[in-house]
Amino acid sequence: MRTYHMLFMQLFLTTLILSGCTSYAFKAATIEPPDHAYNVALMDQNEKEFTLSQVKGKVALLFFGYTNCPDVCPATLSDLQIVLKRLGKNATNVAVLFVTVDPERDTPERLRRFVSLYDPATIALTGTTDGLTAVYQAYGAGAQRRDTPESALVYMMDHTSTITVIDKQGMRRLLIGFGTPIDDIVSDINALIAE
Amino acid sequence: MRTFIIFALALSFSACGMQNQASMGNSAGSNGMAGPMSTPDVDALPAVVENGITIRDPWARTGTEGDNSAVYMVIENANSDDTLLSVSGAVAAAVELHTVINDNGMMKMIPVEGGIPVLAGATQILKPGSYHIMLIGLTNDLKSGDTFPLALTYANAGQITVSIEVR
Repeated sequence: MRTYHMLFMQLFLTTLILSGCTSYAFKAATIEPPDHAYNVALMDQNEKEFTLSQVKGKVALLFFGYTNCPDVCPATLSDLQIVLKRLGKNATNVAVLFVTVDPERDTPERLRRFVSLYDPATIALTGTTDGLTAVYQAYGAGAQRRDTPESALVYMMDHTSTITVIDKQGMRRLLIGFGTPIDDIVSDINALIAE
Repeated sequence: MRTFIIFALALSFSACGMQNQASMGNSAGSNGMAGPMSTPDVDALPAVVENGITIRDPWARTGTEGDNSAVYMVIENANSDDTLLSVSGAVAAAVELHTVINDNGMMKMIPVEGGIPVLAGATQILKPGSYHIMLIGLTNDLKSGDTFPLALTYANAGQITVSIEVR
């Protein structure tokens, strides 16, 4: 009887410890309830097939952009480069996925050159129109072409700047907005890695 | 057993003390927040002061020949209202003034018509997610630590040439 009592107490206290630590308050917007992330199936900058399931077990950061976008997209890549540095050893548990919204101009070679300026481990993705459209819809990229005859760029692609965070189990968990402080992103990712 | 309880409680409290009380929600869609953290942490070049205009911390992103980059800086104006009309330099095939509009989370980069206003006694900050100078079709690779000149033309203050540092 006494043994049962001891066991019960230990179980109770262990539960207390564990439950006390699951209530980390994410700084980014949370997706409630989390849902299964659409299994992206595209081609990476080395022209190899990529599916989201290849990075299962890692925390994936997925966002949209194009190499001719010299402001918002580089700012995001540059911020994520700093995030990875701050994560230290935990950075190996993170995959950064950059999906082009301008497949016409973003050849694999151009994508390779672009991401190599930041973190070379970044996975830059392009694909067929159908493959990309499915990804835009699943993640709300809202990619839209806008002609700009007054600019040497000829046209620009409007797109969302939000980073979707997918957890180790492949569930969509967080949406990080443009301009979120680096420390907040690092904290949230560390929390997801620790789960 | 008593030791275990004390240990368990201590562990429980210490672990939970780490929790952050920061509010939920994020900054998606808020214009003002854009890019406070996007400037690499490097010492700035000395400020350029000419005709009442002070230009601090001009920098550009790294880039590859044929691709694009962007230039950022802080402009202070001690004169009457002025406008940064245009920018030129041999660094790129085209140098344009652009801004970014955050339309409900959709980021739209727009060429600026009529120049970037630099009001009297005010500071105009060119930064990621806001006003910036775009370099389209770089004539050379821009590597961290490189510098290159850009000529900024103001409506009143005239032309001011500044050295831009690549980061």
